[in-house]
Amino acid sequence: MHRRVYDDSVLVKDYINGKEFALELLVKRHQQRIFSFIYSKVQDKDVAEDVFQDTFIKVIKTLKKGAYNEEGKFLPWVMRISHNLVIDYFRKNNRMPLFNNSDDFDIFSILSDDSLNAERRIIKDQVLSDVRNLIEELPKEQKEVLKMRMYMNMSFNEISENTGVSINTALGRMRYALINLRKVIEENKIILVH
Amino acid sequence: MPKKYSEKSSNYEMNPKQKTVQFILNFSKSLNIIRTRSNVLIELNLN
Repeated sequence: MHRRVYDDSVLVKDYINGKEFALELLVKRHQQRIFSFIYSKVQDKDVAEDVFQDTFIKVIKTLKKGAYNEEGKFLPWVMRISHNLVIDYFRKNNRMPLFNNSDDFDIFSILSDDSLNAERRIIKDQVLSDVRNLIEELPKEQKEVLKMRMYMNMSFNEISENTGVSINTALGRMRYALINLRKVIEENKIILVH
Repeated sequence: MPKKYSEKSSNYEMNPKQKTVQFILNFSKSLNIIRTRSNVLIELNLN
């Protein structure tokens, strides 16, 4: 008996036209490829299950809304969705900036992204507000240098001239300001989510 | 002496759990999208 193999584009069309069984065929045809890809990135089976599920929820919603343009590229499209969800997973889970006790840490470096959507903008504003409150806890000289550098965008040369101290002293105060900020965050177990 | 080739790693030839697949299929069956007069799409999950 000759078993007919339907092309993805045919199955997609059938599914959009209400044939739920077509989705089952598509999922089973590509599940290994997609799941393996996700797992290779997240390295966690439970997370891979979630991302796989979320991938197909997006696929289903797009197909049912009639928003899918069939160009014979179903699998690459689904792979792209799963790829983006993997990225979202890593972003969501990167809650704390790296506290590796090096002077490379700069909380402000994670707050400079202008291409945020509305939700993330709200979160960013909250984080900025939390950071401002934390800065107020710093010793006066450190607070002064930090504000001049971060909020007024002054060079250390300008900070030195304005505060009447040497550049080295200004640099040192900045360094200690960041170290102390880190300490306050750690001691209070504050999570700056972005 | 014949060369020995190690088997290709099967770490990344994995499948999702059957219950995950079943959830996806059930979700699809329960989801209906309707277009309102103002052309807004509404998702309905019918149990």
